[in-house]
Amino acid sequence: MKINVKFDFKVCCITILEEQLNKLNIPHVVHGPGEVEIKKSLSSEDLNTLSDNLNSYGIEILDEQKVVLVERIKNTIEEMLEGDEAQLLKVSSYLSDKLNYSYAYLSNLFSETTFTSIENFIILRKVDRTKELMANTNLTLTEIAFRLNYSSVAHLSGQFKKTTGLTPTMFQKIMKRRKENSQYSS
Amino acid sequence: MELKTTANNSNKTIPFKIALVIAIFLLFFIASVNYREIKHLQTSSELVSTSLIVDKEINNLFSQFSLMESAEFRSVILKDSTFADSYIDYKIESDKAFDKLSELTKDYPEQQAILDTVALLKDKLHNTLIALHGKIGATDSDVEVIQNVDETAELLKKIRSQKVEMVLNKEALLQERLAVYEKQTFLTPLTSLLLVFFALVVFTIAFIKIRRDKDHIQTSQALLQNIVQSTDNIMNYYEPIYNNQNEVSDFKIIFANDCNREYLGLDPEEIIGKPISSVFPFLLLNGELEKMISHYKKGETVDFERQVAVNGEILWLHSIIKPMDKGILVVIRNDTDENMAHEKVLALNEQLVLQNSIMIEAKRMARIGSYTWHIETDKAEISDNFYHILGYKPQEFEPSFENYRKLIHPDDVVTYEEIMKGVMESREAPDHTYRVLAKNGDTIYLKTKGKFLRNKGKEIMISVVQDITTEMMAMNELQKLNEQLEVQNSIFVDAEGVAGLGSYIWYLDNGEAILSDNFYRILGLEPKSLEISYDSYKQFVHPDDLEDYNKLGEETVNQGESSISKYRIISANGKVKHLVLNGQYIEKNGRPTSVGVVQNVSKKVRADEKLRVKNLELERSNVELDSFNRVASHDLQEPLRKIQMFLSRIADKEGDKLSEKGLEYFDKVNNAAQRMQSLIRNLLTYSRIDSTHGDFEKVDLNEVLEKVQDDIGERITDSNAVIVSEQLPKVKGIFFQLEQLFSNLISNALKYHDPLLAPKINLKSEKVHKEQIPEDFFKTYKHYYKITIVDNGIGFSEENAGKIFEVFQRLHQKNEYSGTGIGLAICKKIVENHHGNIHATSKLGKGSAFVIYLPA
Amino acid sequence: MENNKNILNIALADDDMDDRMLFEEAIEEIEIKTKLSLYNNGQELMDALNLPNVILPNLIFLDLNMPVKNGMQCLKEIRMNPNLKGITIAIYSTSSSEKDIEETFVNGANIYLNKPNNFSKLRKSVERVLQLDWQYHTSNLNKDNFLFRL
Repeated sequence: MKINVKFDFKVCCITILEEQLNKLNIPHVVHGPGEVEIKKSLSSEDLNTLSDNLNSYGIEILDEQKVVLVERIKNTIEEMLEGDEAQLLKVSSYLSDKLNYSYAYLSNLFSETTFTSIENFIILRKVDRTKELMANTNLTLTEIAFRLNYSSVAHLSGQFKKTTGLTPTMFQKIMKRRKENSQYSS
Repeated sequence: MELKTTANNSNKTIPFKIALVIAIFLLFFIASVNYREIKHLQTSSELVSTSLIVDKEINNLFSQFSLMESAEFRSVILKDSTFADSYIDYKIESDKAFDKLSELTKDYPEQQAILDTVALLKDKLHNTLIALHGKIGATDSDVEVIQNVDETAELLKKIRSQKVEMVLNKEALLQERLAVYEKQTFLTPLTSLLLVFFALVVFTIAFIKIRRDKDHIQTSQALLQNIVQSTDNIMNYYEPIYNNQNEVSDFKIIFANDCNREYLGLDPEEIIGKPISSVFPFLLLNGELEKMISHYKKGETVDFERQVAVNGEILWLHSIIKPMDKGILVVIRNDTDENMAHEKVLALNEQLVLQNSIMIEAKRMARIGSYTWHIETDKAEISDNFYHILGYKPQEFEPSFENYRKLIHPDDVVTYEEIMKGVMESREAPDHTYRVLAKNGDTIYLKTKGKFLRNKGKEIMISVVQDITTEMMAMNELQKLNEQLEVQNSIFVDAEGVAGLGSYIWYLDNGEAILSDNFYRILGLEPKSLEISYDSYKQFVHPDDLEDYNKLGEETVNQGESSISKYRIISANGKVKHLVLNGQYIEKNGRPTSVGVVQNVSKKVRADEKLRVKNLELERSNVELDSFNRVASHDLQEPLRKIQMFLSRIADKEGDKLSEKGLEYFDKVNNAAQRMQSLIRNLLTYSRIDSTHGDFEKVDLNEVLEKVQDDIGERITDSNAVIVSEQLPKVKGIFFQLEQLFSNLISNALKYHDPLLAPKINLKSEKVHKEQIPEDFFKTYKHYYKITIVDNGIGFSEENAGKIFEVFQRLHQKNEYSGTGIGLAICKKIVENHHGNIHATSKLGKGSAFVIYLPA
Repeated sequence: MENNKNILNIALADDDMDDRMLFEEAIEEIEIKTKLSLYNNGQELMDALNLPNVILPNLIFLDLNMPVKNGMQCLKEIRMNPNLKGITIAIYSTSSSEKDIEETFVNGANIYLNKPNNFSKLRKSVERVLQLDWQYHTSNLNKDNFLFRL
């Protein structure tokens, strides 16, 4: 038997964070999935235990300032894409406004840390959303293009093909066959 | 009828009855009036007689007075005293008369008054007379006597005047009476007479009428009686019998007619007076008696039909029970015969319907129709099947000569009209056949035969038509076939030779055979140069096929046909020939015979063999091609890829160490490797375009073009090319193949562009009918899209137009234009795979146009 | 331990020695810190993966056309094994047949990379693969939809 699940990443992460922090009796305020404020200074022993515990869930403690900032950039991009005003603003000004750094700095930092540009990341992110909507909803490509603020289906298809090396149709065909395959095998 | 008149009579007699009553009333009236009249008359006559008596008495009284006076005077004169006695007598008499008169006139006061005066006068007279009477002895007293006498005279005079008055009085009274009487009786006699006469007339008329009615009723009654007795219906009249509770419990037979005897075997004399329950006991059993009672009570008339068995015979009895005021009338009709007849009619009808349907069916089967034509009115009736034959629904068109004429086949109209003219003149309709056009346009042959009849003085023509289309067609076919056969026969002789055919007649009883000239030729012999029989023929049969030949002979003799249809022979000149034969069994001149044809198929056999070998070769080469593909895709590409890879490594790592010459060589190696790579890729593409159409889908060529433009966008911008396209159609095909097609063509146009001009590529599209396409290819579709791609490049000379689509055909030096020479071949293969066609036209230096046809 | 966290463990299974060598050279030229393990065929790879207490690679480059055990078989086995499910698989093959591409994706490959014909292309491609893998591991991207053809 097989069940399909859908989960909210944020809720999962925050729940796990809270659980683990409470387990070690660390007073804290969770600001989001990427940021936790610890109300006291932690011993290196406690920090290691927390780090190990969180690691088992795939959660890493980022101790570097830069990495934190990159995470914040990603989160901000995420918010931007989720939000309605997504495409109304230029990414550069949006990010510098939100994070209070110059875009040049953010851009450099991002490339340095992730080996990819913010622009590429955004495209990747959008394509990923497209993939998700294609795989998990019955939306047509036109509807998806509209939803993700593409100017046209052709634009979406073009970007999709350029990024993934696959046409949306091909992608859908593969996902469909994968589903059939897994149903068949189980 | 009879009953109705009687009823009318009773209605008619009502006025007579009224008249009769009036007449009676009149008589009574007249009688009473007359009685009154007579009473009046009596009174009047009494009055007259009374007045007469009064008159007499008056006269008597006054005469007495006169007599008294005269008696006194005489005694005086004669001095005779005897006279005194008579005077007394007279006096008594007058008193009597006076009394009588006063008695008579006591009702009349005037007379009484007069009588009173008379009484005074009488007394005075008496006194005077008495006085006179005393003087009869004394003569000295003459003077006194005279005085007395004078007095007396005076009195008498007064009495006389009274008498006159009385008489006048009486006369007046009488007159008065008379007047009254006359006044009362003036009209009576005449009126009475008239009324009596009238009454008598009415009486007479009424009497006559009533008399006549009575006669009539008597006649009717006699008639009815007669009917009742002579009718073949049972007519019985029953009256109810009441039981103790004063309820009807049974009926008594009051009247029964003779039919009871006839139908039920009951003597009417015997059954009259008996209760019906004893005469007809079954009435009790089936509850009919109760029904009769209840109907009698309700006054309902009922009738019912029933079957009874009398003396073993089944009778149908129809009973009508009609309650009358005092009893019930039962009429029973024996309608056994009617019922039987009805049943017979029903059965007959059923049979007729069946026969009719059989007839209709038969007509339909035989395709026979009929019509009746009323010549004077031009009205016709056409049988349903005739309509069917003509392809119409029954009654679909108004049947008339004119309407029918419209259906006649145009070629037959003139003939038909001539025949009909002849028919009308001669009043005879012989068989003739003509064609009509059925509703669906089919030609139908009709054979018709008609007959003139007189029906109720009107002339009609009845006609039977038969659809003989099939027969006619068969006949026509046969005729054609015969003609064809004749031609064929003459052709056959020639054809035999050309087609390497021979024919034979083979008598199976003794093996004799007759061969056609060409058969001899096939055998390598001069025609008819040898007597051939089944056995002698064996010398030609190939030894390896002798077994088959024997089997052929055996099977044909036994079964008339054989499973063996080919064998080889060795002809007289030693050539091996393959023969195919096809024999048929017939009886010829009463002999079992096989006739047939042999064909020398040696050439075909050899050709087939070649084809088979070719196919095998092709199959093998296909397999080889497949393995070539594999080799090309992996085994060839792998080393090449590595060459390129390491070339790039050398360039990266050692490039700066190479001399100028070395770098030049290095570039050449690189270019060669690249060309090799694209060559392999294109070949792969070419070989992969297979002709499987399973994944054909609707492809929008606009999308294809867009994608191609996207893919080679760099080259387009680099060369400043302008690509203009009309709206392109959607076609059925494989997207990536069409993409390849467009990509190759556009790349081609970009590649061979005029160095002095910016490339311009124009795409046009139109839908054309296959007839409009001059190019010769196998057009399986009706419409095609004609897509033209025009460029302003260097073009090519027209003579190369066909060549450019061949594999490895290059029109240019390798170093002039890069390319593998496969691109357009791929295009051609793709278009052909899409059931289309591609060709190119160009003039050197004037650009070129590639025209693609794809099925619409 | 500290090291392990930031180093990307990569495995390559390819029967072609030259390709292995070139791949190694390419990886070396990429900034991202990696540890590359090389296997001569599919069987070797699978054996290594099934060793107890093995440090599993984050990313496996898999040639399709290999003796003993080919890439497709390895792919299927890896995807069937719950322990190995999280590994990113990049097919690394000369074949550009659509059929091959589709089949590998259907069977769970994340990336399909044609062996390029020059080194810089190879390096760029490998780098891109590493980036994608990195993104899919560090950003909230849905791994189910991790499908790229380079």
